[in-house]
Amino acid sequence: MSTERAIMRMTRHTLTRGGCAVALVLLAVVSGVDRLAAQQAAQPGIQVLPVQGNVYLLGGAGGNISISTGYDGTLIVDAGRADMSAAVLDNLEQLATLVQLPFFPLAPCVGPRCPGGAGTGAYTGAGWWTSQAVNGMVHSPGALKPLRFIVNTSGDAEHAGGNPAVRAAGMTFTGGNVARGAGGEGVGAEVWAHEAVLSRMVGEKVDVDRHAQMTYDTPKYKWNGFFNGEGIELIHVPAASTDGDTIVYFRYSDVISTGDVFSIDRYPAIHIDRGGSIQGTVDGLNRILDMAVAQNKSQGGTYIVPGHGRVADIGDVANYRNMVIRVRDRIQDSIKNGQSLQQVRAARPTLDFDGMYGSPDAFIEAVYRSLSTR
Amino acid sequence: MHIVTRTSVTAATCLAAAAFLAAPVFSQQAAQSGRRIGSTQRIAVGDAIKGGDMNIATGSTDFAGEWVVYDEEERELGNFTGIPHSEAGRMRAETHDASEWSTPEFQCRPHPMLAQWRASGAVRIRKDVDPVNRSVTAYRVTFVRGLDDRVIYLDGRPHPSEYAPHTWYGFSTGEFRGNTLIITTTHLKEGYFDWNGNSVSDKAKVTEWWVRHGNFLTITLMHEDPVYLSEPFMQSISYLLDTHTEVEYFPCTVITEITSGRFPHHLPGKNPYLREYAEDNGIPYEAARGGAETMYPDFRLKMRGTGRTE
Repeated sequence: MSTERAIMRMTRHTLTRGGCAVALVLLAVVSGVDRLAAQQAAQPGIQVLPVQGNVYLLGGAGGNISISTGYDGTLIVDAGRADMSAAVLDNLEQLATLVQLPFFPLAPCVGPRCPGGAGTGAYTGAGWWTSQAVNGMVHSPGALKPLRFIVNTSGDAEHAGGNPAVRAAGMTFTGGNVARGAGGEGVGAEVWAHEAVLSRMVGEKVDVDRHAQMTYDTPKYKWNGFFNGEGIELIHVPAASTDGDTIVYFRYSDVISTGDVFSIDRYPAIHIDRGGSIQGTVDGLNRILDMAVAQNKSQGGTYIVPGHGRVADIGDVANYRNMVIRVRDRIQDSIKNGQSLQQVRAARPTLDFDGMYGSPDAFIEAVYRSLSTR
Repeated sequence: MHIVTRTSVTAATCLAAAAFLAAPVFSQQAAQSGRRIGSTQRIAVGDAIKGGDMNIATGSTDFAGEWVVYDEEERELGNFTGIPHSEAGRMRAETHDASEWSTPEFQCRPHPMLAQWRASGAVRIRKDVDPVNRSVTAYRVTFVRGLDDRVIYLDGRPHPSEYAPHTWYGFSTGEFRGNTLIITTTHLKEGYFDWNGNSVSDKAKVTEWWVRHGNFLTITLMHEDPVYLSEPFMQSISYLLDTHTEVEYFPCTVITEITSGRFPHHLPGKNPYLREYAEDNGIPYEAARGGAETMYPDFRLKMRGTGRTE
């Protein structure tokens, strides 16, 4: 595949699996590193695609990973499964290379007669013979900014299992009194989560490498400054999937990363023993609906990266919330009528949704237990 | 006078006969010419951009214009006749409560694509034209009460990733087979294809056939849904070209209509309105509940066997 064609592909802004493969070809052409292409081919499940603004989605590595990458470095929401860490790191590097070190494309049309007018097709807005244009031809990319932050939406292995290896590949800018030099020493990326996540990890004797080093215990934690040009909020959702769920709001990109509070391709994973509940799940979904704004007619606008499955918007979350309420009400009615869990299961209260969300057994049991213990 | 008249009539008859015989020939030549030009275009452009994957739409039918619905059908509450519901589809339909439109997220919800054709009233179809080779690269459809743009790509692009968002109109690609435009739509949001609770899952796939006969546009839809249907469901609707119609701006404002905090729905087996349609129209309730077998003539025999009236 020619470089020109690869560039055309890239400008479509579709970094799907095929797009990433093309991105790899680009890298190979530019830097001669064709080793990465072979690695990508060995990771058929991974897909990376743009969501909106600064935020990208990496899917297929366990729970979804949201990525903000740019001049401040890289921040990811969740780290995927432990066994996918190598693939996650490869794809993070490829994405960061594309976003942070753009290959100046040779324009598909140059001169005053291009669609859009003069200059729109030239190398840069600054004109033809500029240092950027030269750099475009004599491409020698600079160093990538490091992976600096990992935010865990929960302690679940699908979301935090990759913490040790992914964190180790990153860097915290310590500086000041901690280490010499402008940025400080590389001590791995900083892992954030709600306090309850860390407490449960400690209580359950989870390997310390998976722990969050930084926690918050307030209803909302505002990131202490812009990251890649935007504010970021960590919002605690109490008692949804667990008692430590966090949803992450990228304020300028207008993207919400929900973790397991919302997974569009499966029933909610409600861990009663870890503080989850059906009403907390409904409340969490309503919280997302309160934050999201449709672009037009219940569609678009705020985009939502679920814990699992495809990118969604307010209409999708509404459909999902309505499903959860329907099932909750049906099971509540059965409990009122004195039915046991086995009888509820036999009545198939999720029959009309199983084709979309898969096996309902764990969900029915969690809802039953949650409603029975109120 | 009499002779002159006979001559005139004879001449006119001969001319008419000649025209009648010649017309198909001209028509056929035109059609063949169109196909030949299209084929040549495809080959030439294909050769020119070696390795390119752009399709050149070669259909000779133009669907652009403003159209108004010519016939329509609305289904009453409880009328699921002829719909190949799966078990899940029936349960979903029978537990539906139209009050769900009161929820803030659904007040401005547009009709999903499958319902939109049958609810549109009027529709505007526009063309995207490639400025280089002048081929039609996409049709854009604007429904009077819907979203601004439903795009049907004709340039051969693939459907998006499984991780891409789904929309009320889905993602559509089309290709011409002769004068028929065949459209495939995936990436639909969960929605409905009728107002009475007939639902569409986000796994549904829709195939459309657009056919134009003069000023008539006929849309035939084949709707496949592994969740809510047990067999494909076919529907069609016709539109009439109307050069005087306008597809007006259709705003929507969300207001507080529901304060209970609950989402309206009926519990399974407790919807009190399901039998009304069957009773009002003298139709067996089993027939009104739908299912694949209600699509076929044999179902009448089955109903006769029950001793019920039709």
